[in-house]
Amino acid sequence: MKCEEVEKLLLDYLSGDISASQRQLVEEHLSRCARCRKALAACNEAKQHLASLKHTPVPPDFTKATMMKIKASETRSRFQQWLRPALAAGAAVIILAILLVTQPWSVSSPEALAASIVRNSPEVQAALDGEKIEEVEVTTKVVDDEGEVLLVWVRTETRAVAAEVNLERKKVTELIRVDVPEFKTGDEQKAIDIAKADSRVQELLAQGAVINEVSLGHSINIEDITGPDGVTRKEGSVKVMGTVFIELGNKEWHATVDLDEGRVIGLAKPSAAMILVHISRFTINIVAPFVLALGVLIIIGLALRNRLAGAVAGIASIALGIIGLFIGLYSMSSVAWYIALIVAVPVVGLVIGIADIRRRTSRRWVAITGMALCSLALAYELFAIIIVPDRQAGIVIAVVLVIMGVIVYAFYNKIKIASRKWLRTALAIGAAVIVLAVLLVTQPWGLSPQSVMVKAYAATESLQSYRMFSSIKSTLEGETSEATFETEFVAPDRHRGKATMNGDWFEFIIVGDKQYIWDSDPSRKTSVRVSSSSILSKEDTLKIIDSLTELEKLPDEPMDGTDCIHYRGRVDMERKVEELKAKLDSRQPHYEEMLKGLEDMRNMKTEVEIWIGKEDYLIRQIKRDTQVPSEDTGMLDTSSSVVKYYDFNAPIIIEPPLDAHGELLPGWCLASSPSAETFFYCETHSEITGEDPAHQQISLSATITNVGMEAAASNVQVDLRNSATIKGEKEESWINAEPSTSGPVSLEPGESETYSVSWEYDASHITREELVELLEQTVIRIAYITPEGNEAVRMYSTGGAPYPSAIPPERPLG
Amino acid sequence: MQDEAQVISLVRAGSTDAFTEIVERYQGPIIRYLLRLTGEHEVALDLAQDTFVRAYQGILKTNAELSLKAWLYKIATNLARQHHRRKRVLSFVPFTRVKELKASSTADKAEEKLAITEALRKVPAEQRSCLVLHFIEGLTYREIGKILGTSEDAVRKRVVRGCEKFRQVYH
Repeated sequence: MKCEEVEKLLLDYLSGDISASQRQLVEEHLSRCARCRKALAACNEAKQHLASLKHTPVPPDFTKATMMKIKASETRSRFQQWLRPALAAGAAVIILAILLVTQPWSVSSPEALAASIVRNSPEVQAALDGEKIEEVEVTTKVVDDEGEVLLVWVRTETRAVAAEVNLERKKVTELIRVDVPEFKTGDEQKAIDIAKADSRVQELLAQGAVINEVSLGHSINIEDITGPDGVTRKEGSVKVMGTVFIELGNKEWHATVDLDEGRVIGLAKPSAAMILVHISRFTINIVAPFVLALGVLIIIGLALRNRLAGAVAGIASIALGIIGLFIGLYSMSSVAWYIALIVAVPVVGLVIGIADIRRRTSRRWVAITGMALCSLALAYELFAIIIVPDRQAGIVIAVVLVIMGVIVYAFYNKIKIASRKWLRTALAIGAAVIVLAVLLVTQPWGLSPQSVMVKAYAATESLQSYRMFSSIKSTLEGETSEATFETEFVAPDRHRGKATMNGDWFEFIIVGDKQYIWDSDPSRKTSVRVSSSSILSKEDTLKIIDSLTELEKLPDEPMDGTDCIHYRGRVDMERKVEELKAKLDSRQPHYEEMLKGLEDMRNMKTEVEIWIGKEDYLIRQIKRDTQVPSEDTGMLDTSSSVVKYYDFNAPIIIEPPLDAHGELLPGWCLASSPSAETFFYCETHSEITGEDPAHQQISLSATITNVGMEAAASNVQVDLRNSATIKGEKEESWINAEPSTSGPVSLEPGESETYSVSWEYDASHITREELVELLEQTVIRIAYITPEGNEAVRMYSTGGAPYPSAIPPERPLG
Repeated sequence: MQDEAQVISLVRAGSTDAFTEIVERYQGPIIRYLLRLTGEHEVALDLAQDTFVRAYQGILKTNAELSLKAWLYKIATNLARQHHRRKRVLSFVPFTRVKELKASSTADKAEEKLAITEALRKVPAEQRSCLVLHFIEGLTYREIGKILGTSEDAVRKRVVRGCEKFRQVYH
């Protein structure tokens, strides 16, 4: 037997509580082992000595004193157990209530202002015969020379009037009685029937879609009607509109039906983002308030030591944390009530978690998980609120910090007792992180343009339809040209638009991959390139802000009835030039010229202003002003463009320009979509020889380079045209230039070829300088075969005004 | 004397006075134990009071079936540890054992008892707990293991080592 085993049995040997066989083994070992004998003696000695300590006097009043202490602690602990949490909850509720009532962060919207003007207007009261106003709805906003005017629809139980409200004068300027048609029985069926008659709906139904639901509504329309007496009056009419919900797969389409006209005026499919929006709306409107109320009940239950409340507290804390995170992530609204809610949910969850951690020692991890989730949600929401560029964000943050402070104070003892070392460390780190995050974000106080642009992108993504109008005005060497571009878009791939430039115009309709064009000059083969299905792609949106320097936030400004965040900045030309220079390849043809062109860009000044909806983060307007000092004339070339976006998610219908038989309507033609993009660079050189002005020999050569990235051009033919064309022929004629090599010319990307032509010209009526000028304005037409085998034409001009290039989509001539 | 479980259920039902019974039953052993662990009479009394206060609060908060005796020792052990930790900072403050001296009956016996106490104080805290609980309070190795959160064998080992250490310092 070893010493270690004996050591275990030694005490039992001493007390005699050991079997005979073991006793023998131990004794055998002891006879051999001096160390174990010593240990046994030590045990025996200690046992004897320590026995003398068995009696200790107890003070006679110990029980009494102890019981008093217990009773005292009981009062205190009961107080702590529910009075302090109750105080904290009460304080939080009061602060939230004050916030909700005063809404210090909300600036009153024009809509709210109009509604209050209408409600207090004696004219409206009179028109409604003093009936109680049931509903005030702002329908349209117009801006006329009197300032901002809103159209408001006011309804009582039996009457309805449309009112025009002038916001500047704070007055009702016009009142129009409108007849509100009642919904008739069978209207729903009628809406369904109309929808079913629509070809697009039929298409959906053929794919197995089901009509789920119909809802009816009113749509108000106010028009200026000039009567026989010559006086223009405003007349209002109200239509019954129906929305038919059609379910296909797990997607729901909405068909907007005009019951009077008996046709479908819009069909839209909510995107995945829209579905998420619906879910988050449901969560924030129904789930979150319900769970919040439940959370408050649980806090009260915990305070009163209710067992049920205790049992569900941990789970409730986790649930509140998850819901808090969800609504924090997916709600972009800055409406006061929502902000209060998304902050209140994790705060209540945190309170429950803290209360629970003290109460239930056995399932502490559940409470800790809940607390962690709630803290995360709260931190995120603080962050989200801070980056909402709101002047009053600071107030919200301060209030939230106060609430948290009150709660931490109330539960300080509990946290202290409950926390082990690591928990305390974790809390300290968490607090430090929150403080740092707040500091970092608030550094530019309450505003990060980048984050606003990210939100703008997210908001843009879920758009179903919109209209856009842009105009560009440019002055080059004293000559002004104007171009406009308007377009409509319906998700996913329908566009309609019109572009004008100095009286020239073309219209286009795009449905899927089919493009229909109506050009004022039918000989032009116009095609339209669609850069993105959305207003701006994410990268573009972010680039706008990134490319700017000296970015400043101007005061919020209303734009089409919406309060907008307003930024202004200057395009960082130095940086842009450097970036472009880095992309240039010195082996490229015309490298020197391109380099010089880039250097000239440094003198360009472009100022950009951007307006973004404060609540929906949709871009409303982008304004660009460019100034370039012209080297030749010393004059200032300018260009200014305004792009407006509006009618978001309006019922826009885009149909191909076809008649009932599927034939193209007059003027329209189907454009071949430019698949391979080929671009050329042209350089011309002219030479005039001959002494006799009546017989001038003109040689003109054009070097054509394929500067496209991918596509090769085969059978490249070049024609020229200018005012000094061959004598005796009509001015409009084209002359063919011969390539330097014989046979058909093919140009791979990067390859070039020189074409030349010479003719005799009678220049007796003009000076030599004028002749040189004429030759400088040569139009070059390049006809070629694309890699797909299609014929294509591109035209280039060596002089004249450049086509404004800033308007999307691009319209290359050719 | 009432059954322990009965007393506990009375306390849980709201009768604070029922706890008096428990204080009276266990104050002797707990004070003694704490006295051996801390070596200071006043401190032992204070900590014993705290032990009962905590036990009372704990009874209200937990529903588990309790072995009250083991639990009280456990609380007392923890309190003594905490006290020890705090005291390390103040260890330079000299303390006196006059009170205990007075409490003893005869001078000789008192001297011997004082020597034993002093020797016990020099045994490492963990071993000391085992020695006191086993030899003075007569708890089984299993009970001690539960209180100190360790195995029976470990307790046996600590007792033997504690005895060796005690002998070493007592002589």
